[in-house]
Amino acid sequence: MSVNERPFPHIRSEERSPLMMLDTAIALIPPFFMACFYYGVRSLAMGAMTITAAICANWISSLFNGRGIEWWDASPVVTGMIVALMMPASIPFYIPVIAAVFGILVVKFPFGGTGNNLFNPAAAGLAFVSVCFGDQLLSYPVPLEPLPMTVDEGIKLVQGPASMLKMGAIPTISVEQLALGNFAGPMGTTNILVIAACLVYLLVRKNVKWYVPAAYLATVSCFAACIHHENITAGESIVLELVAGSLMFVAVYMLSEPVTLPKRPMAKVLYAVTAGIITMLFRYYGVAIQSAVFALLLTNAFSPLFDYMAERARVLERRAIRENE
Amino acid sequence: MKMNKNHWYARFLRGTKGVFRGNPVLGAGLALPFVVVAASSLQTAVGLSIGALLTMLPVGLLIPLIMQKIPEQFRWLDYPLRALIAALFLMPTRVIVGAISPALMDSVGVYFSLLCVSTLLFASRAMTVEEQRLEKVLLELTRLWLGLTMVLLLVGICREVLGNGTLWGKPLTWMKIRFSAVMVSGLGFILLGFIAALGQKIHRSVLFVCLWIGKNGRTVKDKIVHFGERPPKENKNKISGEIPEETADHEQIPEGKEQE
Repeated sequence: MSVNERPFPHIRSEERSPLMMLDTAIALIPPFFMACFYYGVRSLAMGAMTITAAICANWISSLFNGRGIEWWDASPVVTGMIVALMMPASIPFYIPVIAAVFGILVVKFPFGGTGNNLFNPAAAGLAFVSVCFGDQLLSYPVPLEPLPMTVDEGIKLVQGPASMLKMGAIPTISVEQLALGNFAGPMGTTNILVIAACLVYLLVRKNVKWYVPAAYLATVSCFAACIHHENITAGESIVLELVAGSLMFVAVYMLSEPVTLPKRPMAKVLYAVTAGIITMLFRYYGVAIQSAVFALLLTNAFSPLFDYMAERARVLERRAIRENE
Repeated sequence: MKMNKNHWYARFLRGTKGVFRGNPVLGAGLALPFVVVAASSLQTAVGLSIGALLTMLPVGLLIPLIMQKIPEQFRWLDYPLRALIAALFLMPTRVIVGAISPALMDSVGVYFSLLCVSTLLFASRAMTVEEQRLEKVLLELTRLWLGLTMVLLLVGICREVLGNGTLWGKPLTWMKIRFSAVMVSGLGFILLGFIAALGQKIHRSVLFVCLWIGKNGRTVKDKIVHFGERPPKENKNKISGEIPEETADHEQIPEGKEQE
């Protein structure tokens, strides 16, 4: 009999951080192709630049931390891809680059780098640029009109349905357009069917627990059904709130990020519900357009608290069972 | 006495205590509202710094003297009196700073009145110096003010350059991109945190170099932990014959003595 002399854990599963990040990166590729289809090669170039900037920032921070370059770490790729997909296709290249670099150097690196960050780096980067360059993030190009590499003032820019909803107007978009993502918005977040297909892939790969996006979307739907505009029905309100902004994208790719997500299932549900409530409160009463991103950042801070609450509830439950016996 | 590089550095840190090591803002978190919210430009930072100097020094010097005159049965009035004295000195300070630059006074806004609170905190900290001699209290207050000014200027410059693309109101042509988020107080906290981290990094780097140059037995890493602190006084009641652990571990006993 051979003795395993290696330190624990001796039983290893295939679910490891690099593989999980690689899966997320794979799931982010289809929205990029859809963005390329709707807005041209510029979206791919923007993605490449953002990813490169994120990787470089991650290497610099790793070297500064004394960890050396971690070649296998795909988390900056995911950060770069998420940041690029949440931007309008017509935005200057330096803005997503700044967002990615801010997320990695200011939000991820001070907490100890990959696996230790308290806040989602992509969300933090997006929040930073939406405060700095808010106006440029609110106007989107019209889909199916390929953009040149250098965007000048001649390009037609329109408001997205999320902005219209915020101002009290009702966007007139057909169901087909909503499903296909054929409306103005951030280049990767409007393709609901593609995002749904990617969610299925992530669920199959066990990267995402089904109850996290489900709890989030259910909370948002409840809010949208209860509080909605006078001119639309509860059903229409739910569809518009879910589809108009970047909510679905956040639910699939950002909310289930393993580092910032609590560890216990009950805590995960609580986390998702809280994120949903804060998102809708920001949507209805806040001023920021990317309310889901700000809500996610705020909920990130509560993540350890939810874990503690879930652990405490478990201990109390066990104690009660023991006393009954 | 011959001094190593690390001794020089330790002496420097002790001499500038309150400016670099033990900085009131970075180390103790005093006067945070000014730094995080009010210090949004170099002008504001200078205004706050002048205001702090004009209130802190007289208040810090007068409070111990006035307290000595107060009879024992009225000592419960200690804190209200301190607040009153600080508020009294704030009024002429406001006039002086306003006369120097009205625009500067406008930019500081309501935060100027908050100087009263910070002054009290600084004065309380300065009065903890040994013996409470006036010149020592004055020296301590000056160091604390220098520490506050250093942080205020750093934060003010960073925020003005990054957020507005100007320095002392003059536009910087090379600064094409403006990060207006830096002006938000949340980012002010982050900026302050980064300045503190940078200071710590510089300190550790200088320390490492100094200790590496003047290595004398102990590992560099052990020394970094308690660097700059005065060594604990030796216990006079120590039982004779015991060899201190530190000596036993790290210092070699000369061969001749061992044989004796």
